[in-house]
Parts: sequence; C-alpha cells; structure tokens
Amino acid sequence: MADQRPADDGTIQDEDRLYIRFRATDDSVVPLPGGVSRPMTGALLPRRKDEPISADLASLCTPGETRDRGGAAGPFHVAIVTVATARALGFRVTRDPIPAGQDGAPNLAHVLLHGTRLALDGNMKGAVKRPEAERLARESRVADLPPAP
Amino acid sequence: MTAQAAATNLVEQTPVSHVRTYGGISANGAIPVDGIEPWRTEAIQKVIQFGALPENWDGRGGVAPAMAVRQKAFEYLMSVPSIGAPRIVPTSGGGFHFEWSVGPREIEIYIEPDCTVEALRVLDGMPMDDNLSMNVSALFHWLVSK
Repeated sequence: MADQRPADDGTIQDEDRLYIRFRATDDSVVPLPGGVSRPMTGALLPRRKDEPISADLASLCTPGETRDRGGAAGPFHVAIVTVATARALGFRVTRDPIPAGQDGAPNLAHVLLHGTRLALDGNMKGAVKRPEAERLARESRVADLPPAP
Repeated sequence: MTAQAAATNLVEQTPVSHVRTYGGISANGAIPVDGIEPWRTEAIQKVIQFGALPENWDGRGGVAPAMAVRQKAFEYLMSVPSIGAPRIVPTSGGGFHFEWSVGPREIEIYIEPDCTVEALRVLDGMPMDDNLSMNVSALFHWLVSK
C-alpha cells in the first residue's frame, strides 16, 4: 500500500477554517445542546467514493459566498471546521483553485480534504472513509447565516 | 371426485374484488397499508421526494437517487424494527444516508447508488467500524441494547 495523496499544504494555516456547503433538507442538520448544530454525515460526502471532500478556505472567502456560489438552486447550509481539526482527523488539505469558466468558478478559496480510504488498487489516493467523514461532520458546526438574497 | 380433479387439486375460487373506495379514492384492500407505522410512511415519502431532486442539486454535480435505489431504500425501511424515524439525507452520488440514534448509540446506513448497503456503528460519538456487514436484526439489536 502506498500513500499517493498529495502532500499537505503547509501554507494553509491550522487556524484557518474550512467552509463546506451542503444541501438544506429536513434532516441535514443535527441540533446539538447549546443552540448549535452540525451537519449529518451523508450531507458532506463527495459524489463518488474515490473523491476527496470539497471545501473553501475562510481566509479567502466568506461563508455566504460559499453558500451562494455557482448556479445550483439550493437551499444550502455551510458547515465550518478548522483546518487543524481536519488535519487531526487524518485529512491532508491542499489548494485546488477553480479557474474561471467552470461551474462555481472562479473560486480561489477552493481546497480538497484527502482522506485515507484505499482505492481499488490498494493505494491511498485521497478518498474518504465513512468514519473520517463521520468525525468531520461531528466536529463541524453549521454557520448561522442570514437568508440567501 | 374425478381422477383429474384429484391430480390437479382444482379449487374453484369465488370471484371477489379487493378494491375499496374511500372518499372517492380507490384502494386495493389486499395491500396491507393500514398497519404501517406513521414514521415508516413519512420516511418513505421523503425517499420518494428525493427522487425528484434536480440535476446538480448540491452544487457538486449531485444526481437524484434512481428508482432502483429508492426501491432498495423502501425495502430497507420496511425491514427494520419499529424504533422510530431515521434522519434521511440524499447523498451526492445518488444514494441515501439513514441515521438512527438511541442514547449514545447510532447506526448509519448508506444505500449506495449501486444499491449496495453499508453500515457504520457509532458509540459516544466515535465510529466503531467501517463497511459493516452485520445483518439488520443484529445491527438494531445492538442499537437498542443497554
């Protein structure tokens, strides 16, 4: 087994935060004590099992921009978690700016969270294990944003 | 009794219609819908609604769960013990995520776009195992055990 994930980007500060957009449905937000809430794990999962999780860096955008980016209809929520927490859970964080011309672009704040799920060839390529996504969701909090325009 | 009747065990069935009409709506009385708990009905309705999600519903290229995936979800929801409604979200790839909680124990069920089912047990907020192939009965027994 070889770890073929890209190297963690040391220029991304531990103190920075990650914004992860997810669809608002009846059950996508789990209320917690103290009036805060977290996303349900399934809401954060990437489209395919072999993909990393997509997020935006708080130092380069606002949560409102993350929520309202692109042409998707929504409604959306934004989950927030620190880079340090994602790293502590085993994720590698890399920049992945999206150039103009693509859906949701340009997005200079875009990053990827690479997990440790093994690919079919037995190597680690950045896909995310269920328990990793589960713990990331538990550590995240849903942003309390004003209604979308 | 003739030899033919004895060999084929012919039974003459009285013609009967199971169709009943309630307030102008016809229903087949042979299908036992009365006994389905409200939480199951509500969960199935959510599954049906998620089948109508638009393309790119999550801004990540998400697709709506296909009919076969929804059917698998119905079957799963009908097979679990009656312990109450799960949380349900669609997943970006066209599957479902169900989640049941009882005290510190949780079960997460993933119905994948290829109709495979994966389970994850969580105790006190910590995932216990990945891609669990435990049967439904054992999973839910664990969920409600002390």
